[in-house]
Amino acid sequence: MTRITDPQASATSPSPEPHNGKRIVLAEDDPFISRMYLTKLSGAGYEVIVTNNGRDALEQIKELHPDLMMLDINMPELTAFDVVRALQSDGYEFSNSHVVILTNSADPRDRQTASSMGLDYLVKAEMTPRGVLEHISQKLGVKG
Amino acid sequence: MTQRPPSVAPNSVAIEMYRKNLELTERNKMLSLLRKIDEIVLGAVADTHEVAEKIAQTTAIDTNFGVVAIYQLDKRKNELLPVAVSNKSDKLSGSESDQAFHQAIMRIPGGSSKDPLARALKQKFIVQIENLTEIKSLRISGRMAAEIQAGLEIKTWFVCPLNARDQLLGVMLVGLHEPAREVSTSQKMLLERLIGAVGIAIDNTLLYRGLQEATRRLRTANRHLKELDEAKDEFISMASHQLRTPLTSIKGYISMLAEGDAGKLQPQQKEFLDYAYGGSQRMVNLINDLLNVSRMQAGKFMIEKSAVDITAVVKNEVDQLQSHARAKNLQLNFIAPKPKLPLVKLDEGKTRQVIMNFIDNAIYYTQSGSITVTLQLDGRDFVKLEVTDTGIGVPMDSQRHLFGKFFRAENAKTMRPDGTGLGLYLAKRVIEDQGGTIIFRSIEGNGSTFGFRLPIKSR
Repeated sequence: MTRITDPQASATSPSPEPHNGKRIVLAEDDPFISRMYLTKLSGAGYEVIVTNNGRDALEQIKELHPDLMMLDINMPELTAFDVVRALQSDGYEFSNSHVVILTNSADPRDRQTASSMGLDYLVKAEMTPRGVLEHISQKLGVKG
Repeated sequence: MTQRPPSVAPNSVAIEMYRKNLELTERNKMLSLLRKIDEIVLGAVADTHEVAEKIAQTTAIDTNFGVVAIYQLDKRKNELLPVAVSNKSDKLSGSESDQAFHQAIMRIPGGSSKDPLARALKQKFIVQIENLTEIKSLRISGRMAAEIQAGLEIKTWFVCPLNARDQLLGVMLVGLHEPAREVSTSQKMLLERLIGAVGIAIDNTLLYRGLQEATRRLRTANRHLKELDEAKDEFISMASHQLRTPLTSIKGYISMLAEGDAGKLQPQQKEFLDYAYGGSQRMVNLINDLLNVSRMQAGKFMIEKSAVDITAVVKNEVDQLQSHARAKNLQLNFIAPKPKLPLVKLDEGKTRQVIMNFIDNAIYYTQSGSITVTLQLDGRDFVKLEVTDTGIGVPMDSQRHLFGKFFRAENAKTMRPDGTGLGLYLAKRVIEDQGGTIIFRSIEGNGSTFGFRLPIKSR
């Protein structure tokens, strides 16, 4: 788990915005990609908790009650869909609209699954970090 | 057929009339039988055994032939296998010799053999004999052959080769109750006609079986091809995922650098990063093109619509490609719709890809001048996008093929040898699958316009 307070991470944010009160759990097993989003989002004032596998993500979500979950599909331990299903069966209260699937999967079944569960589906390679930031800020009603 | 004229001396006219009448009756019988055989031939071509069985049975019942046996040629073994033997006599049926007759094969004798079968095959015509035992190639004991002959009261045998299209297909063995000298001309004629029809009947069943076999093989081949397409699509999906992962970092970090997330940039640093970013974006699009074409081939291509602010999409694509246009000293203008457009039901990812392809092509194939992107309302129910350039244009003879898979016009190939020829092919499919139409007009050397009309409301 990497917190925003991680010195390595915060060093890349030149002038972080003041904390905007929104908390995001990001589950991403590629360290370069997670650091990229961490930098962009924390730089914009979000509190970001990074996990690199599905099981840790599940635990962090239940413990920290984030405003938004950003989940990669194919991760060690549990997939994004497994995490969402586990949260549902554990009786954790949340809205599916506060889950953003952030993936590079090219399997059309993944998109269908996300759509049937009512989850946002973003393809990482098609987005820039700024694009992702704008998407979630709009979702959470945060002025960018 | 064995009736004779009455013994009282009639006048010659009466005899002649009687003879004519007999002839006509015989002829009538023959035609009726042949018609039945034709019906069998045309009716059930499924199974050789079934067809041969019907023919043997019908012939034995409708004529006064004592027995009809049909053999099919097994080319590989050089044998004639019994496929049907008529059952007419009760005296023999069920006996040991009857069973043996039903099962007896004929070994095809050498050409110089005296065996009547050899003669029949050599002459390709009917051979007449008295005793079944004369056919040495029939694998049945002399005792049994004699029993069959006696039991069925056969006095004459005809060994008839069955041919169709100059190929030997089998043999028909016909036993008659009359001694050879009493066999009538019309009986012989009937036999001749009959073997022609039976030959065709067997040929048809074989052709039908061949056709079924070919169909089965085609189905298998088709299934394999489909499996291959699926395997290829799975591979391309997997490879795309792998390619997109490092590309996410490349494109993401470049965009962050360009946006100043790691500090303010010199103008030239910014310019270079813009080019690098454009390159990474093209790669993302290339992967999407490959994925979409692969999907189409695997029959998995799908349109997924949602309500989209198309103006924002177009503006975003224009912004992204601005640096490419600037690098070539081209003006890239976006004329936004007035009044504002409503949300449009479309597949955002795929439509974005089409818009990107149109603008990117315009930049590639324009040396100097400008590219103008226009988005506007078209009638009440459509939006229209047009990308107009001052580029090389499309030669007249290439225009018809331009939206075909992998097609590339000659002048485009010269300018850019490495294009895939997939962009426009995909564009047409994506737009038409959403109920829209492609817009295209061009004069070689005088620029092109590419675009689309899309319905605002989903059908």
